[in-house]
Amino acid sequence: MQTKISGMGMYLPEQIYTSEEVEEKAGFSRLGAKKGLVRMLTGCETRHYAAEDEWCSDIAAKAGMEAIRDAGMDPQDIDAVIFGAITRDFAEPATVNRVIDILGIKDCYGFDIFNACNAFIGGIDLADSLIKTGKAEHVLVTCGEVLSRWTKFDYTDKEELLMRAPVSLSVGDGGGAFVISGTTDEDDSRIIDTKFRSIANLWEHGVIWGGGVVYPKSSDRLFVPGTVKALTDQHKEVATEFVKPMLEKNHWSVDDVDCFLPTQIANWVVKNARIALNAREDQFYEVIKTTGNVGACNIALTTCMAKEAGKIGQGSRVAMVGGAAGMNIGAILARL
Amino acid sequence: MNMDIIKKEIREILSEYTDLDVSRIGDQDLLFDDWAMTSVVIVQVFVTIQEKYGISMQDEVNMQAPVSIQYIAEIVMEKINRKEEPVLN
Repeated sequence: MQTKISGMGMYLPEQIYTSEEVEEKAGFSRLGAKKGLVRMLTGCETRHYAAEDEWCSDIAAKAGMEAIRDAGMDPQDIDAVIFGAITRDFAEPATVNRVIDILGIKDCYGFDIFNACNAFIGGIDLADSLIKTGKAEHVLVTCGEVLSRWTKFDYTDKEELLMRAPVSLSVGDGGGAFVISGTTDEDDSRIIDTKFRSIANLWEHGVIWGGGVVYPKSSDRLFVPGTVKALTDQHKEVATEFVKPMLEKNHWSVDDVDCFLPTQIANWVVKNARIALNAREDQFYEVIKTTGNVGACNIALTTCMAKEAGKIGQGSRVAMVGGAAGMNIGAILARL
Repeated sequence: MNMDIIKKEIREILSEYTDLDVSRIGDQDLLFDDWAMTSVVIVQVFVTIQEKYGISMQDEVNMQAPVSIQYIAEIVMEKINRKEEPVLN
């Protein structure tokens, strides 16, 4: 049994903010900090923010419905749903339950997966396993990020602002989803390989301390920290020591990849990884300029937007590459 | 505009964002590796350079590049020269 991506969908909330607007909101002028830092450091010019009454599950359900339609299916065809994101509606129950309820799926099961920015691709890997072991036929993997609500804006100290905000203000909200389905040997479309690794000695970098048992009552610690240097320092090694061997194992040259679909924290990080891989500029698709860093949804959004732009389509060979706090690395090779 | 003037101006800009004595920083010294400067210092310098010279530094941002005063000055010089190149009809 093989699996394939049989449908994909995305959703971006209506409100758009420029980097200058969020810098103003965070107090750049008030604290005497130079504006323009978010765009300069990350390449992010705009990002979408969820409406006040939009939850992660709303966004994930909208993206999920788009993916189901793209697959030519009905929600009732889905027998498992995986919600993979950084943000969630609440501590309990799993956010996926509300997603399933919104979609009106009557006979399925679901669960959430959390692994920072790698939650979505981790969900794809799990869906692949569920199908291959006969536990499901069509799995909806969906993500709905509302990182704007975990963004610190109430800075009172300029030094802290400058340490965190140039990265943390680049985050945005959005949803993306894939339907993963079983396929036959005759079908060219398939998930070729998946590979993941944890570099757990880096766990202390990029921690969102709130929301867990370490600081159970401190909502003021529930924000994206913006301190990711130790993680971004790994990106060239990820390209050469993780992605390249994976391509070689599957008899793909770098040139064989029609499109690399990376998680996106800053455009210089993607550029360095591309150079380390010896790949061409046109082999990469980036969305951080208009969507910002949408956490676990980055790869889903990048894939959907690349398809919308005509960059990829039926038969395209793609390499999804994720790096996440933890630190966790993951890659998925697929032919669409 | 010559390189010496550009380097002097870059030092002045750098001094706005660091407490270090910029006169001690050699032209070739690596600002990240030799002087432990943070990315936010360099980004502020780049934004200020953009405003001062009317050039874009966005494509030059790379926190793993060997950033030195000389390195920055060469980028600025090249961009100023390109800006000033006459457009041939």
